[in-house]
Amino acid sequence: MTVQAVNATVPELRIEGITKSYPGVQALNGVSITVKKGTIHGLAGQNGAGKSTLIKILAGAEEPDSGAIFLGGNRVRFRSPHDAQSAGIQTIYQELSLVPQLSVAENIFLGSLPLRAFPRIVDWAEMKREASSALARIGVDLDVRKPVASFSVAEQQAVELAKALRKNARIILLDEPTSALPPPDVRRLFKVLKTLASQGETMLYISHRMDEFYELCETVSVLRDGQNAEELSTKRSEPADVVSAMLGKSLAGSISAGSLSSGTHPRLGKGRGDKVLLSVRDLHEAGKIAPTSFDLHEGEVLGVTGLVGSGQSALVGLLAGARQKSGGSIEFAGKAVHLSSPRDAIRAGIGLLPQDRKAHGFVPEMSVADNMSLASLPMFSRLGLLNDRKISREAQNFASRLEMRIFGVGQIMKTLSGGTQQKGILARWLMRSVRLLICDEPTRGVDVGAKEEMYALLSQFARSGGTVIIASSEISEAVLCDRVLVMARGQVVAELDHDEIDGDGEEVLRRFA
Amino acid sequence: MGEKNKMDAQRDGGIASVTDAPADKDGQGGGHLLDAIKRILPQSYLVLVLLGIIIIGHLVTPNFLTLRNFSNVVSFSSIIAILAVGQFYVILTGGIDLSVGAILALSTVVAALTLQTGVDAGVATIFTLGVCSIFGLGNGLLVVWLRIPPFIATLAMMSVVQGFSYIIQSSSLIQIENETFVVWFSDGRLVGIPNPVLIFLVVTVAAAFTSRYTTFGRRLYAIGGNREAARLSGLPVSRDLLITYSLSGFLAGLAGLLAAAQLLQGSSLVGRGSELDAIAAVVVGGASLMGGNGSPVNSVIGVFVLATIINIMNLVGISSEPQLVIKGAVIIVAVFLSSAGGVGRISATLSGLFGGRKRGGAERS
Repeated sequence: MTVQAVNATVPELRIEGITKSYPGVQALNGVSITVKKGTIHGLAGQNGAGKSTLIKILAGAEEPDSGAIFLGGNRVRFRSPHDAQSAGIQTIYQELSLVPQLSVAENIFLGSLPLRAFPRIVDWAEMKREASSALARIGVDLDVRKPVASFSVAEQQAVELAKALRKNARIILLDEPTSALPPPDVRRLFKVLKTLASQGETMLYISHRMDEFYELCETVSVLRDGQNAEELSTKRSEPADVVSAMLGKSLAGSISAGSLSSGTHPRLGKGRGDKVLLSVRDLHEAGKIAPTSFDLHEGEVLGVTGLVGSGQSALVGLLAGARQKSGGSIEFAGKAVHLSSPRDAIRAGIGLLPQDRKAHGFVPEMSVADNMSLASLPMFSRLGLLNDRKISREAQNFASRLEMRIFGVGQIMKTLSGGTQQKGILARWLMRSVRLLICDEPTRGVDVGAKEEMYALLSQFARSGGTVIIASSEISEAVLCDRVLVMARGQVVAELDHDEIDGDGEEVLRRFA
Repeated sequence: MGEKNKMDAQRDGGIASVTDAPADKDGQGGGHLLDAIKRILPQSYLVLVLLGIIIIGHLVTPNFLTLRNFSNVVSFSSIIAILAVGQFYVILTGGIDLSVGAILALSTVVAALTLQTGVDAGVATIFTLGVCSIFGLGNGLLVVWLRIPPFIATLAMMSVVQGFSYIIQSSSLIQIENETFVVWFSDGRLVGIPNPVLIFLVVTVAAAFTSRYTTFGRRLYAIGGNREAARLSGLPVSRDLLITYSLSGFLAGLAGLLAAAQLLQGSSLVGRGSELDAIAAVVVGGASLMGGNGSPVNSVIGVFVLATIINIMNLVGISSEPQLVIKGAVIIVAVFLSSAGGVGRISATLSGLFGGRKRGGAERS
């Protein structure tokens, strides 16, 4: 951070006419963005709009086909990530790049450990001092000798920030830093980011959460289909405007818009029917879930919400047979069931959309059709022999019903976007004709457009006689449900009906702590 | 590489809705048999490698491309090929079975001992295969119930089985004099094909069929591709793993019967290291040790790639020590080309060297 004759009119970062194409795809087409020094600049766009390509180019991982990048008025060219870093562009990716077993101090100094003059060995004292002061600069106090793995995600993020700052950081690229953070930590992170901005640091902030832009940024650049769609001043616009710019169409009346704006919010289900489908009594898991009882009615959409790690995932995991209960009873469709494995739950008619789609949801190397039919293989076979034509026909059927954007059901699952993959997993359960669909964070990591479609599909499922449980740490998602169980520390602390929840979900939030 | 780009383009483009896409998997009517054959046949490149090796063999020695030598190579490979099929299934699930060599040896000892008691060849066969399957099942139980990593579980089982066959053998080796047994598993022929070759062909075809057309095969691909997704989809993961390891034990036992009939003896020293040959063949055949892909036919072709090279080296008189070095090199090259995506990387490097420089120059001008 050299002191420059800062001309206030020279932007710290200027991207001009960046174009990048991959074989067959125009990822970026003449994108220009200008970022003032000491500000946090928002970057929004659907998945596939070109955000990640732009980040890769700024981080030096990709070279643009044409266009120019200016840092403080000087043109720069990056041939490698190392070039970009030494020019002062530091990137903090969604997945943190820390070594969990090493200490905080070692991580902050990774690659450039301070050495003593003689003998040339690591100067631990110096490292500890420097690491502590780097953390102090962003207002965090950690024991820098402890391994990174012993800290929370938020604290690890702080370590990552300190690491970036310790290098020469003119621009910090933040790629969805809050996607894995519970709300209180988000607030802490925002405080840190604002402090940094006031110290003159410049940041480019990417997120899927609209409200964050309006808390942090003065300006939000929206990309759509690889081009600049709009540049919005947060003072003169509202979150729905960003979403409209991302989608390229007006959001008025849609589910997402409803959940974004305060006031009224639509509901996914049609409310409780008169038949009880699922009856849970004193269900508990030692150390995770306190004894819980509730009834779920046919056709109802039940939300289970709470801060990340409050037990909502664990609770629905018990209902899907994915976890082992320590006690309590479950009655499904009038019969007592013992759900000791997902297999039992599926046999009873319960399907699970897991939270971690990539790790638990699908088989990446298999085709869409094979992934869809995974839970219904007996339906497609006789004497153990598969009927591939039938599988393919059925998969085709569901793919068009769910409007999946694929080239054919033979396409390999891992090549699809997150939202389309999620639809594939949903199709697995529709194919199996489950009666109860349990969704654990169903829209995590999918873009606004796909989110909208997901809500519509779940709503359709509920209105055609299915029953849904949604575990979610997103308030905006919980308020869409017919009824919400609020959890804290593994316990259901409140039960709210749709009509009791206000648009902002304050009623729910109040009970989180 | 071209294929991959196309895939990327498809993903990023992501345009067409599926509604108007034709049922591409089924093909047009009439071509079903051809389609089925196409699906069972391996990726062409591995066959090309084998063809290349055969051509080289023909060029360096006239003795190579003869019917007699051909039947030699096939008979010699039958045993490893059967092991490789079992190994393939285990590797498909993301595991590995180091005990198959030891189980093969155990099989020869158990067969020889039971035959020595004067029982019928059929009884001896069934008994031996049963014993070997039980040891395979033991591997499965260690992996599924005790959750010991397959590498360790089967390594330990290898030691147990080796010791066990040594103990029950109690003398240096046991002769096999039962003629029916020898005819069945070594000397006999059916429609002109030697029985060992026939057995290995039946095993291979059955395995290929199972992997492609049965729910069991599909489940194994799913388990290897993503174990947790398979479990959450309600697949009987534990049961399938138990079956797979038992199957590997069974096939190792079958390979052992061929070896016993060929050698006319049972010995705990037979087949040392053959598990590594089987694993090498499977990976040369393009399967990933992470599981979830590959095919049994490819694994068998992998066996033939390695066996043919050794055969050629024998014919031209390369002694056994350099043979080992060359064999190792072949494994590395073959795996680099198949599983490690070597073809793609080589072509990327080449286009980077030539195409990339040109484009860079144009940009600067």
